[in-house]
Amino acid sequence: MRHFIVFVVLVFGALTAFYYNHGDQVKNIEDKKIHVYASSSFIAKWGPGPELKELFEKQNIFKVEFVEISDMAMAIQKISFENDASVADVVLGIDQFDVTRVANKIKWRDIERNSGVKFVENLGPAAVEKTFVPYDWAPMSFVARKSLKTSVSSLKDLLAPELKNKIALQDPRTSSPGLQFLAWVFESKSGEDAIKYLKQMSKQAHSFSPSWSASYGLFKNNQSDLVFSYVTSPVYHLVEDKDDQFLSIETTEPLPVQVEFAGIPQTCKNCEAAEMFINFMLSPEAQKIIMQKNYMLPVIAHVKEATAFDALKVYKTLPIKFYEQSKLDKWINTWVEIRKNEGI
Amino acid sequence: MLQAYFESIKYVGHLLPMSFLRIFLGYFYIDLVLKDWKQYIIGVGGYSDVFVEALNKAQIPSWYRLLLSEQIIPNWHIYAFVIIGLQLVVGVSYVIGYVVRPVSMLAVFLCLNYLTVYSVDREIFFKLLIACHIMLAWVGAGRCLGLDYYFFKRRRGLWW
Repeated sequence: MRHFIVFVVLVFGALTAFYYNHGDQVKNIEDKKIHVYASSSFIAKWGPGPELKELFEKQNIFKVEFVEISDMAMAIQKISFENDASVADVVLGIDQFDVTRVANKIKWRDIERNSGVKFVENLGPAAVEKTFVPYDWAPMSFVARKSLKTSVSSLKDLLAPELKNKIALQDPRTSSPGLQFLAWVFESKSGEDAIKYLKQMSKQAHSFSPSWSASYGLFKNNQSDLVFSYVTSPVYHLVEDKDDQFLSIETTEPLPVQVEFAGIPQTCKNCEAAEMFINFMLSPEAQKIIMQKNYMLPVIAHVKEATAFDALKVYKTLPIKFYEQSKLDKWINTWVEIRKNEGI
Repeated sequence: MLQAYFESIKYVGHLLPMSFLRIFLGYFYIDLVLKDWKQYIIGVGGYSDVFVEALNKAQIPSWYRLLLSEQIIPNWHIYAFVIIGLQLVVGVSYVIGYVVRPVSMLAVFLCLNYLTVYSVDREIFFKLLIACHIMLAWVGAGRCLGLDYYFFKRRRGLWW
């Protein structure tokens, strides 16, 4: 027993001594570092994260450390629990639904933007939002192969019998694109019509995947003819796979728009550096990296000129809105009821 | 002591496979300490995602949920230090084979905590780990290729 206690005390003693000897060095390193919370696809080696980090570190004395987040709600919950102990300086990947649903759980700093940043017109109120800065966006629609025989030019056309069980959709409870589709239906049709449409649509769906990537995988493997995705998806196939056989469908209904925002929690440690990083993300160089790696449109003008994105159609889009949580919950509950009654 | 260390292979050589398992587990825990130290003490990861996951887990007992939210989360840095310290105790003890029996019980206690907080898909891993710790304690794995043999020879008893 005595040996055991002495051993435990010795180990803890050594650990404490090590902690006090290295504490100051650690603090100096941390003073020059900003912690950026971002999704795995953003910080992956094929994502925009590594290039942005390299460029930012070249231009500034600050180092960037990415912290992977798997889910925005959990990341916000984590920052909320940590409170003053939180190391998050910047949070990336907040969409317009997160702004109302989860972001209000913590306090955010107002972000001062560099003068001269001219946002594209499509962003509307998102461009003047004080606490969240948009850094990429894209309209969303159905993506298909050019070989698709059924002609689709409206939401109604998706109910064609040939497309039964052929459309890959996402679960609006877990996927932001899934919620975009739901909001699109409710924005384009009146209450009863929207519910009727969703009922019919649930028969057309091949599946409701938990994430966009899962549903897109089904489409790529030819398990579905259409997938609800970003209008920039065909550009990805054109650039990465040299395949021009994909198209995004333009419907008579204006398309919904997905915007991604960056925010700085009130508990940030290197707040000014965090602000510098967000302003850096709005620079033409950074916007080009985000566009080419994330396959989303730049938020500032003239960046996509002379690139594959320049050939993209200008789609008629719905105005960007920050929906109230109660409205979103109501839509999701309606969808859940419809799915329940479908026996799934 | 060094002589006893190698002598142990001759007299309790049948425990040699267990010693390899013990040393491997020791390495595993020391590796864990290095990762956790960087993440939680230096402060890069702030506080563990595991707890957020745990609080959202339906199966967690209510008293444990209360302990997490009222005690551990607000004082996370102190608890992180204690947990890392305990992991280091297990790691060092297993590698050098010193006080392996009581330390195995400590490791079982750590594993029971992991089992409660981690997601269900990792449950089987921690159950297997608990089985390994119990086996190490049962056979007294520190007696072969470990310092425990030196003390066992002189003092006997259940501690070695």
